[in-house]
Amino acid sequence: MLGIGLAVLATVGWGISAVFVRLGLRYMSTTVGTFVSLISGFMLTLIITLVAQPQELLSLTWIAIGWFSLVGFFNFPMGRLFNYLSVARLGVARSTPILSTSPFFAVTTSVLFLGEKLTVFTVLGTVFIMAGVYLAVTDKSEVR
Amino acid sequence: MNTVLAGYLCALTAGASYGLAQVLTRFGVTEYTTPLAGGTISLLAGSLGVGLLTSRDLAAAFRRTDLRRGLLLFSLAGIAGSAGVLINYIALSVAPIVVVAPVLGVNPLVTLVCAALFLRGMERITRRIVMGSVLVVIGVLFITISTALHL
Repeated sequence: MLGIGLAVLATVGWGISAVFVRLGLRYMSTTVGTFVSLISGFMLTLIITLVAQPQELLSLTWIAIGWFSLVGFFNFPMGRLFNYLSVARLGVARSTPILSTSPFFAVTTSVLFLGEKLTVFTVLGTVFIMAGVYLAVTDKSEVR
Repeated sequence: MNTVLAGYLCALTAGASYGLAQVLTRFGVTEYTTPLAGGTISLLAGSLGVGLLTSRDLAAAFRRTDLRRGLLLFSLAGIAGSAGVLINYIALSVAPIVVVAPVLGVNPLVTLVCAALFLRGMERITRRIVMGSVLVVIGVLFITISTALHL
């Protein structure tokens, strides 16, 4: 039950974050806003890591640092910046379903490059995701 | 380019980048370190990367009179987003992924509810968008649950 409660809390955190982004875009450019959000997120994570797992942080190898820098490149200059750019152009409601397709891309990458098996469930999931994205993309409502 | 089309392309690029990052993270936390330490490094690298990209805009941004509001709102966005990631790690440490993943999968619907509650007058949430989000959630659930259960 605790796991479910925490998972719900995590999704609320992401939902609220999207709301703050939409509001913040009225006062700040997308690139600067992305930078500010990253600095604040980094400070929070750094403090918690230094309190909870200082040894893990201080004993990182150069390979681990390089690897997670690569993760950071895909997650932030690519992921978060383009996420905020889409929110600026489409709004939260229309961009959310498309942004949520990341598991589809994760599975596709795993199948293409890591040799993971394509299953019936994966194909079914992909069909549902495509249908959902089609509905969101063909929505004609105006962005205010 | 048409603004709406550019927006969809940005969203797809973001979705694809997050997906690739998930695969890289999975390998990184298996081979190198904990999610918390890895997350700290990737946030630092991301901040430096975006900082370099945005260095020119920063000076102009700090001259604006409504800077404080922007700083406050984007700082809160960063804190809420990172808190979500950290809570997600804790959730995964106290419950199996087959329990946590489906709840995380409904994230688009939670975001829509937040938008409906807090962005009244700014966002129009149509039936089509809700239906699209529900279908994406079902698809994501198929993928995440079958992956977690090795089906």
